[in-house]
Amino acid sequence: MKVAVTGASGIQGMSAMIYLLEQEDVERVFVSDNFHLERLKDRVSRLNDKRLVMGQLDCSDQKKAYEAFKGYDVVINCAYTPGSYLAATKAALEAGANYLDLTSMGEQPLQHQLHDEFKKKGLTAILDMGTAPGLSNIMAVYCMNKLDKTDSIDYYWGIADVVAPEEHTRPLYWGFGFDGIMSLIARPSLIYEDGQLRELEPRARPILYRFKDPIGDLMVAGLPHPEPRMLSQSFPDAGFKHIMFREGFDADSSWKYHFLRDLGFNSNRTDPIDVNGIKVKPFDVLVALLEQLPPEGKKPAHIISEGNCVVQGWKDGQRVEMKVMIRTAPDSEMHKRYTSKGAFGSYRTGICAAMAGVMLGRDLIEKKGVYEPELCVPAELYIQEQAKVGMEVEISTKVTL
Amino acid sequence: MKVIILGGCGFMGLSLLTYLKEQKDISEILVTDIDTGKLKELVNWLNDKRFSAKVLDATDFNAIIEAAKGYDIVLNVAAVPNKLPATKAALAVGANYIDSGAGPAEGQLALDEEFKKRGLLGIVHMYYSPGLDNVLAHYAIERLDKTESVDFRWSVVDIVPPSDHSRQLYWGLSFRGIMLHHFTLPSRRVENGKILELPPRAEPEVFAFKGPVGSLKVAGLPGESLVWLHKYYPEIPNITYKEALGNDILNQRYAFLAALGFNRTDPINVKGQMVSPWEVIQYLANNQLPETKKSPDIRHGGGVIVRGIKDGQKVEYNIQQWPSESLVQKHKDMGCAKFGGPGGTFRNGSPMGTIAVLLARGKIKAKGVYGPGVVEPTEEFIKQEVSMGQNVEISKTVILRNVL
Repeated sequence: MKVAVTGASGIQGMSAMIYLLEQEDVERVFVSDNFHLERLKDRVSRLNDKRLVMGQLDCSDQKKAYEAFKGYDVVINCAYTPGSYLAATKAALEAGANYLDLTSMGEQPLQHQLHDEFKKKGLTAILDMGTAPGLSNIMAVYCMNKLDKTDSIDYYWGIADVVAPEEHTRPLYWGFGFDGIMSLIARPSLIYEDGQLRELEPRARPILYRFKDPIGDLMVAGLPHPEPRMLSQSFPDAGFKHIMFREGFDADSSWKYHFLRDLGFNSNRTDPIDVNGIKVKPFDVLVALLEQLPPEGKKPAHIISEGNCVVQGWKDGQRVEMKVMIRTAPDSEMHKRYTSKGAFGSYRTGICAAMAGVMLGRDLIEKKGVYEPELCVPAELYIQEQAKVGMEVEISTKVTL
Repeated sequence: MKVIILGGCGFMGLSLLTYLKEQKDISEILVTDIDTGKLKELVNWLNDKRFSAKVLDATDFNAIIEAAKGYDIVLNVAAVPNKLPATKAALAVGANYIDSGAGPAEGQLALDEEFKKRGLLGIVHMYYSPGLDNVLAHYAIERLDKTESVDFRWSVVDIVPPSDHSRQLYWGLSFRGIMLHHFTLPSRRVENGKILELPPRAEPEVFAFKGPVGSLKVAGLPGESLVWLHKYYPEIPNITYKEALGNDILNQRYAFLAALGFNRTDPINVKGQMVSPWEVIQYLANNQLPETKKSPDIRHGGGVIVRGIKDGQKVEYNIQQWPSESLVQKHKDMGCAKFGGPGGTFRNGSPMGTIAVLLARGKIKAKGVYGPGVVEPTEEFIKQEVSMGQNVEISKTVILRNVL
């Protein structure tokens, strides 16, 4: 299969590239970006694989994207193009390629309008196919498939720097996009409960959750993650009683993010402040300062990401709780393999996307049209592939007698 | 005795005014400031016919001369670094002069001979620290044959836990002082008679303060008290200055902001515009949403630990001062927070009040211009502070030799 990856100079594009090149049936990978081309060139030369082809592409330009996607079986859109994801989706459709993205930042209803056209052409578009949403949705479906009825779905996600703060010289680290974190913790939490979607206060319903060592106990709390909306809308007849996504960070990072948020540095604050006649957004000042921090003088951060999906329901008349835990294991062979090839930061989202992309290319996804991951990706197969690539996967079942 | 106060509407002025209100030795108090509205409101609130008000710029030499004629003491608590014009004006009208510092003092100290010639006294940088803690150190130094070390330990702390606030930041003195001075400038220590510079907030340790502050982490500061002590007592080989600027959580927050670079005053490029990070954080700190939970209760106190030799024996003095609960309650009942901001550090003005009272009673004989902790009669000073509601605990430990 031939796969096109956009936004390939970013963290996710990098790891998607690596995953794709590990697949024997991938014959060509076209990697593109509209910016940071030197960085992309570096990566391509570092990976040194003749299947890799590189180019500059503004995938928000539908015409140019169509020309670039022609001849490819799958388009994995890792680019950040707010307001223009529809263009890349249409370009893939026109070029006869399956499509997936990590997010389309609110354009999903517009993309869904292309459902019949994708279906007619025997193609599939998977929307929001990253780690969370994406893998997280599939984890829920994995459990739901094993139950007769699902009552509740709770996510407990942890992203922690397991190096003690006093072993850093840099004052701040983050496990995924900093602007994403500073937006998520400032917005209302989303919950599905009692048959409806509701917004609660930011970081609602905090609880202490025990993650695997070395993360340990973290305070996790609500976020405006889309899983409650996506799952309740994808399975309207499931009779869910409750769906909530909670996430936590290591204690040091957590107090720092929340402190900055409460001072006024959240990234979705649109009103600038007036500082001696200059109107400026506090978040932009913070980012400018972060970019000027001197390099780490002691130990770099070691960020571990662990996701838990806990599903409660019924099987054969018994109350059952299933839990799927997936994490990038510390010091794992996969981590060493990926980081040695240039992956960094929260790279597993790129793997999750590329994994679904390869399944598209292998025609393992039967449904044609535009779908959320939970409605088209075969959950069992996908979770097995997570283990195969080297993620640590644990599945546990508790029966209440 | 007649007293004129410069910058009386500032937070330090408040404690000075409430202090002087209780002194029968003071017959007339002229309160001056550049803030017309607040001046009137403050003098009305004091409700004492000895107080009058006048708008006055504390850096305007001629205007101060005009206003200060006939007054015995000029008490300068204005928040301006340049206090030389006011010092010269006091000299010109024949008034004694005391100020709360906050700027270079060389020009004022150079007036020493002129003050002596006119039989006047000037004491600069006389508030809590430097100021009161230098007097406490002097108390112990006077009682030793040889002083080997002096450790200043001070606290300015909100004793309400951060979890009981909705606001993220409170400060006792000034946010600017904390960010641009305490967390930015090098710490100092005198070691073997030489001043050493260390990183900001160096050498943290835990110190047990008296009263509700309790045991807290303290760390190094530029320590003006240390600098004054070293100037007047260069023979003391080792001097340290450490302060608690809040509980651990608040300290962490300030240290984090400094580490990010928000104590940088030089502009940086932010999407094509040049912006000072300091001015951004100052704006945000001053525009935090109103407190929805508990108000702060800022206390400060501390003192000195002085070690030396007396009659061949090793002796240690630990002198701690902190406001009594009755004094704190009195200020709450008076509604001082209305004028003094969230900080109890408005009490910083009281040592100057003590000096004014001692001068009025003829207890200070020295003439000339001095820094703090040199010419004040230490025992009288402490007694007067106690009479005004301060707790003072002086413990003396004699360290016997181990003859075994």
